[in-house]
Amino acid sequence: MSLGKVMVEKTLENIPLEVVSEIFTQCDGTSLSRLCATSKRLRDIIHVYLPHKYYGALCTEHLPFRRFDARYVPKQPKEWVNECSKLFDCLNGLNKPIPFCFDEYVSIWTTSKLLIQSHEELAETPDKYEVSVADVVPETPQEVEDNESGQEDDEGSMSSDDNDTTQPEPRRLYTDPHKRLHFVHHEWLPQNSTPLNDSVPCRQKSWYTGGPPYTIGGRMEWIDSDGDILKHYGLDLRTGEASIEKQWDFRKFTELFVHPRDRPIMISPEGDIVAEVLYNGAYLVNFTKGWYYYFLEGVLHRVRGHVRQSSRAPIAEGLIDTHGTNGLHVWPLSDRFLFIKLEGGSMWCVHLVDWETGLWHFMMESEDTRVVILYPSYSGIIYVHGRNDYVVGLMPKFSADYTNLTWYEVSRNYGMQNTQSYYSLLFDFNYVPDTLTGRFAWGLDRIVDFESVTAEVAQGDSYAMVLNNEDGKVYCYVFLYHFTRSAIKFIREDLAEADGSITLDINRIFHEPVQ
Amino acid sequence: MVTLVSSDGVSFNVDQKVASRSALIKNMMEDIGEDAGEIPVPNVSSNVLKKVIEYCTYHKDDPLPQSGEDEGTSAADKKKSTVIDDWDYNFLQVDQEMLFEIILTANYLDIKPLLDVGCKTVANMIKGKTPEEIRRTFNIANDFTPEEEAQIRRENEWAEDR
Repeated sequence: MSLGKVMVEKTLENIPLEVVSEIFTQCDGTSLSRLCATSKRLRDIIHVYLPHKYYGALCTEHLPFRRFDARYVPKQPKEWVNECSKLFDCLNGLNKPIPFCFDEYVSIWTTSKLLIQSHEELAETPDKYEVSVADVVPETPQEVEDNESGQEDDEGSMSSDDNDTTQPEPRRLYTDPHKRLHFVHHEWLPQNSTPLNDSVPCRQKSWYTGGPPYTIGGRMEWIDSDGDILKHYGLDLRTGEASIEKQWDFRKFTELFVHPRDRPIMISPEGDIVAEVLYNGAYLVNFTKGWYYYFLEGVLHRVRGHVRQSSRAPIAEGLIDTHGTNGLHVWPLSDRFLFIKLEGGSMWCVHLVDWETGLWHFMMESEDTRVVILYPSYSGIIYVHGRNDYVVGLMPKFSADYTNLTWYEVSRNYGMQNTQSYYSLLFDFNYVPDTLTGRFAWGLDRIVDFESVTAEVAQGDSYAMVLNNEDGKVYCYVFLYHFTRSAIKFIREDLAEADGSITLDINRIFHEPVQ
Repeated sequence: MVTLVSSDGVSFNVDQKVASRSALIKNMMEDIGEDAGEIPVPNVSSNVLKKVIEYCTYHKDDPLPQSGEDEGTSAADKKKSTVIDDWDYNFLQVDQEMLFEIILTANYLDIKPLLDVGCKTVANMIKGKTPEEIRRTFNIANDFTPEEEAQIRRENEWAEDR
């Protein structure tokens, strides 16, 4: 047997797939990337047969805020495991992996596997991810009373002696939005408030020191702040006459009411509801995943808040409904990283904020709020949905010291009607936690005719499977809030019987708006 | 004792405990009973079988991996154990042909620890190498066009230069 013949028979390329799969399982993501570049055979093996291992390895190595950071949301491990089980049951119903092309690797199957894996890890080390309750104030009547009396003391010291070196006790928030909520002023929060203003400044910072004006019925109105005073200005465009409509003292804003639509609304002592002015940028507050975020005079602060009962984070609506909305939208990816979208007038920009380095990593900006919606995704890819009918996947990568961020385009799919684009997008961002969960539950009863179904078979963040009592078929609803505020409906058998890629019958898209 | 017969007709008398390192042979012995006699191993040549027996003999007292043990093991956990034991490392310092033969035999005979360490050895041979170096190491023909190579480089750019 000549050496040449032996090498042909027993090379990395020619050994059986099950064996080469075992080898590649031991490889890191970079090695797999390089193997893909060696020959078509190896590239095909990795891309076609092992995409989950390939991307799983890459994500592990390159994405500091990949999906597992979802654990940091204030949810107990057991809850996550339960949710995971529900999803897995649902996906199991699909029965078989669906072959996606290379750049749409996030198949239902892969997603479910990764999800199970992550939650197995989570289940094994629950303590590691438990949310600290140090900042949470128990809501016994006595404690509420104590807290309120403490608040009066704080206010007194604030107004009478600014040089008081005693560290004031941070104000706490209560879970029940119908209770009296005490907003925490930034000056009282040296311990758990993190100013970022001294780092790379936000490029659009000026928007939030002054806030963009908006025009209503021949009047231009805007908000500005002067020290602790928030002023609401009005300008009559016909006469040119300007005036101060109203002004408030920030320090006296003691009540925060969570609107049913999850708009945070502040109420002044006089009973003024200033939600709209908040959205205009002078003073913004946003609550999601246990943190309150707010801008005050160009400084972004975050405050560890309370675990709210509602799972509907305001950011979900903020990101979905970008039309004409001015404001600050925060999408934390972890305790360390958050996406922040700043809107003002017809402009918006997106940054990735790193709380540890204090750096703002500029991502993109646009003059048209309709152009792009961003989705930090389950796999770590950020999907960008453009008006020109494309979906681009962007992969961020940090330098070793996290000071530089480079964006790489890893996928680009044209055609919103492209089924695979839909699927890769939907099932990838599917499990960004706590953002769409509430939306889903909220919209489900508007889409599904519950009178005609026996039971809800399964439910995930943005989809549901429902057994129709009349025809005995199981329908899968995939919710498309971010695109059309509607849902795709298809029969599960369509998936089960598919050999290759699935062609979505566009006529099955529900155009009924989810509102 | 049990006798294993290689594809080229060479017989190896092996202690049953050693032979039981192979889940395949262990099952066969259990099916056939005490008088197993000769067990043919048709896919394995004598020089490879000899090496595999050497491995099994050295590890004969190791605890056997439980069936399905890997099922719940995450990829991350597997990544953690890339270190290879000294004896295993030296054992696998063989030419590439033999290395792949050992891996294939471990897979065929269902000797999971040997399969695992063999795969790790190959993975370590890949690690840190450029595509060209990998080609040279494993005698892989480059069948990409220059344009395709350029495209691949662009696609993989984000995973490089960490």
